Amino acid sequence: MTIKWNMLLFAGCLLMLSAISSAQDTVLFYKKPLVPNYINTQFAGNVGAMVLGAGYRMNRARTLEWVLAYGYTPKYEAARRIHTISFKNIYIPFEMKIGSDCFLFPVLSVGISRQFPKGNKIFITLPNTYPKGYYAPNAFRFHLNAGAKFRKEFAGKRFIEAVEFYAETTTNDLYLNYYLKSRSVRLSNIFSTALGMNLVMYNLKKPGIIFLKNRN
Amino acid sequence: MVFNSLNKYVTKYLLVSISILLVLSSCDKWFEYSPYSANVPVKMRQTTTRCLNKISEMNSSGFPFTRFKIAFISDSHLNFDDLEDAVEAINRDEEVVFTIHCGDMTDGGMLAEYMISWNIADKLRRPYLTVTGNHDCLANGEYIYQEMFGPKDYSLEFQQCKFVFFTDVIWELNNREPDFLWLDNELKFSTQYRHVFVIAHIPPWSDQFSPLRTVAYRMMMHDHGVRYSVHGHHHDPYLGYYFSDSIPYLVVGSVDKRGYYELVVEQDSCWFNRIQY
Repeated sequence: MTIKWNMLLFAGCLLMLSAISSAQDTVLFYKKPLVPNYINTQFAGNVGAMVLGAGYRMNRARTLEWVLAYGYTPKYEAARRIHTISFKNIYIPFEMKIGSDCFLFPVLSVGISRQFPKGNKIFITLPNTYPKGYYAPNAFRFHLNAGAKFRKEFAGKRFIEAVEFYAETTTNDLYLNYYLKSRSVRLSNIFSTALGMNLVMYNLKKPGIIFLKNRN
Repeated sequence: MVFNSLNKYVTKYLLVSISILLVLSSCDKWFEYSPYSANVPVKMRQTTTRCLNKISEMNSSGFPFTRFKIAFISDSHLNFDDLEDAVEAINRDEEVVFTIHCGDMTDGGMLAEYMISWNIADKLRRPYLTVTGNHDCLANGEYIYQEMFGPKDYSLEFQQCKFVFFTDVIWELNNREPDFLWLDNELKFSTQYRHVFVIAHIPPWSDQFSPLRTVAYRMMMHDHGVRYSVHGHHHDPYLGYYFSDSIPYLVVGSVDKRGYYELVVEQDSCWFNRIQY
């Protein structure tokens, strides 16, 4: 069991490292660093029913993206409303041009999410009620996603430079644990789907970069 | 040249689209909003109520008292495979009329854990009853338990025996006091029954019971002449007179100890056997 787990962890680390190592070329931002490259909206995917986030392209090659998002799950789905903050590290191995300004590419990502609950039943540090080490913290979840993204770029300088649509299949650390521990849990039981749309305001690899050069 | 490049794109495109299709078709549940959600599927709701109805149908057939067996399992947590083996072992015994799970059927009170446990317990050929464990109350577990199984405190009369299911989890229910008044009320007419059994997850000598609560529980068992007090929580099985009084206490032990207890009830006696599988 532990060997399987270690292998999974190792694979996850490799995924992140490979993305970072390919991000060595100089990044010339034509926007302020804190301004996101795109607005991310998502439906479902274990981080909330409705998700709204800010996406950042971390390198010019467009292989590494970070998304910081807030997810909301309404009351009828749970005992009470669920608020989730999630961070996603996205790796794009290659891009494929399928038209004059259309792209299709696979996306792989690892994420972490934190739920904001009420009461002493979901926690990061153990509440005083319990003796030391009674429970492991259960407010953080680690996510593993894989999917495909489609991008349509618009010619000319405008506010929205491109639109991206994506579908992902997602799972998290808990579900993987169940899969590893139980023979009655099949692979199809632990995955679910997420659909998303990105409104890209700053699409890199475009002449917008010259803007900064002129300034200097 | 054109054909060549087109071909390359077509194959790549096909590869990606096929992988997307594979990924999408492999999903069992299409959209999942949060692992902490508590939306129990309709077919899983109110299981306790349904099982109680089945048991009362068996009971009302008007036959005179016959010897019967009841299986006790406990603390399955994430040991789903062991739980499945226990279910198979219980199914092999024709004399068992119903099964009781003494709590902790999940590890973190997550909906997915509840659903996996439910699906395994659903393979039992006879009805089954549950009692809330401390782990079942973590996250949104308390709510999910009430949706999936029904009331937390309930009782059952079967063949002139009374089974009282009592939730004595304290810390995980925001330090709410267990409903000792309800328990006392349920045990009031215990002399009318052949045997009375109390099933609660946490044993009265365990960490969550303050000395006062322990005394209250012991007195209640003693005053009403309870035949056995059955518990889970501790993973090692135990059967004996813990407080050296007249009441025997049973700790069923977790399923990964590869064994379950069966209660054999006869006309005027009853005893527990441990069955290894």
